[in-house]
Amino acid sequence: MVKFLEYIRLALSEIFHNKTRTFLTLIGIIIGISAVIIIIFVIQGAETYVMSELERIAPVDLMQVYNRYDSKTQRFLGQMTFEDIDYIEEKEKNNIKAIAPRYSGDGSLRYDGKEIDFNLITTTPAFKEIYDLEIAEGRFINKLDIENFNQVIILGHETAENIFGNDKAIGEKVVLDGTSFTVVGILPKDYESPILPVSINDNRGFIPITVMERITGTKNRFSILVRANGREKLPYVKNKVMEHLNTRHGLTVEGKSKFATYNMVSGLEMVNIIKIVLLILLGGVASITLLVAGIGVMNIMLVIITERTREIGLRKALGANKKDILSQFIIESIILCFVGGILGIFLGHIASDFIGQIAKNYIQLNATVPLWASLVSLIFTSFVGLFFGIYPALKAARLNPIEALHYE
Amino acid sequence: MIKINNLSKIYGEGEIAVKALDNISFEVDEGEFIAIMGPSGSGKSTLMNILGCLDTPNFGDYFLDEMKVSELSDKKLAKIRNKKIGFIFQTFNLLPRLSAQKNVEQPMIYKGTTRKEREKISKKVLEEVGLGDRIDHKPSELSGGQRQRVAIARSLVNDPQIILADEPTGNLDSESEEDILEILTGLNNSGITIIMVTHDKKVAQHAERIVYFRDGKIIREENIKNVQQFEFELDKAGGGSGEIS
Repeated sequence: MVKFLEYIRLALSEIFHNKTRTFLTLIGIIIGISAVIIIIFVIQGAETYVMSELERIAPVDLMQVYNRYDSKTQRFLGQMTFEDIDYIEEKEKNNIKAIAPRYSGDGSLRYDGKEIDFNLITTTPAFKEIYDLEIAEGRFINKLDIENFNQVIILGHETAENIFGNDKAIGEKVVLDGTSFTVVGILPKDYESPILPVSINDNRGFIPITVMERITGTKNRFSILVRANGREKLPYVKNKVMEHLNTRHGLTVEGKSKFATYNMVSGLEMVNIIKIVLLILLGGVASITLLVAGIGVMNIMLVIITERTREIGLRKALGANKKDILSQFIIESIILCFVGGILGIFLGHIASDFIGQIAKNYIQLNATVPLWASLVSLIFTSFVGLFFGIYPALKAARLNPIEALHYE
Repeated sequence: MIKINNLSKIYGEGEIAVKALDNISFEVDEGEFIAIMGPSGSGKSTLMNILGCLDTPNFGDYFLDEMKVSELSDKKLAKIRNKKIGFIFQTFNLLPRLSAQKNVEQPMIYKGTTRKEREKISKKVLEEVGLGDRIDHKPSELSGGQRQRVAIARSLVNDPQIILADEPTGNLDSESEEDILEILTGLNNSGITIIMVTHDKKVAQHAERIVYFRDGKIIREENIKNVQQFEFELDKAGGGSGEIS
């Protein structure tokens, strides 16, 4: 222990004595490590950015179940029903927050000689919970609307403004594709639901799904939205929902499900895959850089050992054995690389900050360099020092003391 | 304390083989001060290396304190060099980056002495060789004589039984030479065995016995004590007055 502390001290004094050479030797390591830090920073930033974007599009605990369509027969393989929804809601009430059917299309709306196109969503009251929807005036679709086929409509703020201007809209009757509807609710102005695509947020309307089915004479054309009780429950809920549907509807002749799901988890998995690919790339780049840097360190260690041959001979005369010399130079190599690692981390942080500042102008890059990245970098560089220090140190340890002492 | 029997050291093989030491035998008692003289290539350096456990003979035995050195492991030899032997070199061999004190501490590192203890001992020994006020100086800030005194201090810190000095005054002016020889004599008086290589007859006079080498053989041994007394009137420099404190 006494020896090791002394070797560290000696190594530091050697390293700092020859600052220029130390720096030149370490450039490779500094660049390699700072690149690692920067890439980790960028990956992290990209990940948080993509995640927040995904959250904006839809809650990540949300999934959609839809009927599979056979393009050959031009028929749906299976059709989900309201009974399915009730059944799943009942069976999985502890695991899901809300479940709602959804069928959407475009419609044109007439009022007082004006006509506008807008996006129509037909659903049930549960939809409000699925998307954490807010209503500015009036109300959303309720249970009675569904049961009694009430011809009511909820309008986006922009749609309402286009038609009614500043006049009161609630209670007014509008005509939707030939059928009359009473306006019962309006979404807030510039409503930015964390999930609905912003651009069409305002320009849309909602009607009870049962009314749509009666008017169009269609049945069970909808997909189902299921929101799990938290993101971590989504995979479980996904399996359960499919299980219930498969039991209730049977499988296709090929033994496949008649239904399919889509959720943001698929998106998340994609993000994870991209992240892994980036990490592998990063690992590759870092390994090659540090390999080259390590060879540079080995080279300089060989030079150092040649320069200090007399010192090695002297140390042997003074009582150092092979292990002592070996340890001294391995430690020197490790510390040399360690210093490079610290400088690299330092540079990496500065560069990351800089990149973050520039990126701010384009996207919100909410990232910091995680502590583990710095720690792993330091461990890794130390390992490089160890690995590439072994050969020179062995060479030093094996020097003949007499020849070493008389080396000129 | 040191016993050498029929020792040979041969460098190279076959036709080009050089007998650096050719079947020599001699003994050194504890507390002796021996000078080894001879022309270069006579084998005196080779003997010093073997005595210092830095080299091993091809033939013959070397006993140090009853231990057969040729049978010891590398690790054990390092330990002997560390604890029993102190080396003094013609070129001082100080580490240029380290202060006098740090230089003196080096052998204690291999012994495993704690830092605090090392500082205490090194300071004390440097004071003994008259460099108490120079402990923080780098070798480049010291004169030749001072450097050699640092080297002597370094050789002493682990309380060696033997000091091997290879031309210790070879690079020094006559004044420093006197200082160093005085210190060595003092050390010898305190009981340390000293074996010194020199080519300078005057320097050799400080020893009790001179061993002459030529072509790898001991050609003559000379007991000095009487001679020294005889020459005392002529040569004030000679002598064992070197009290060090």
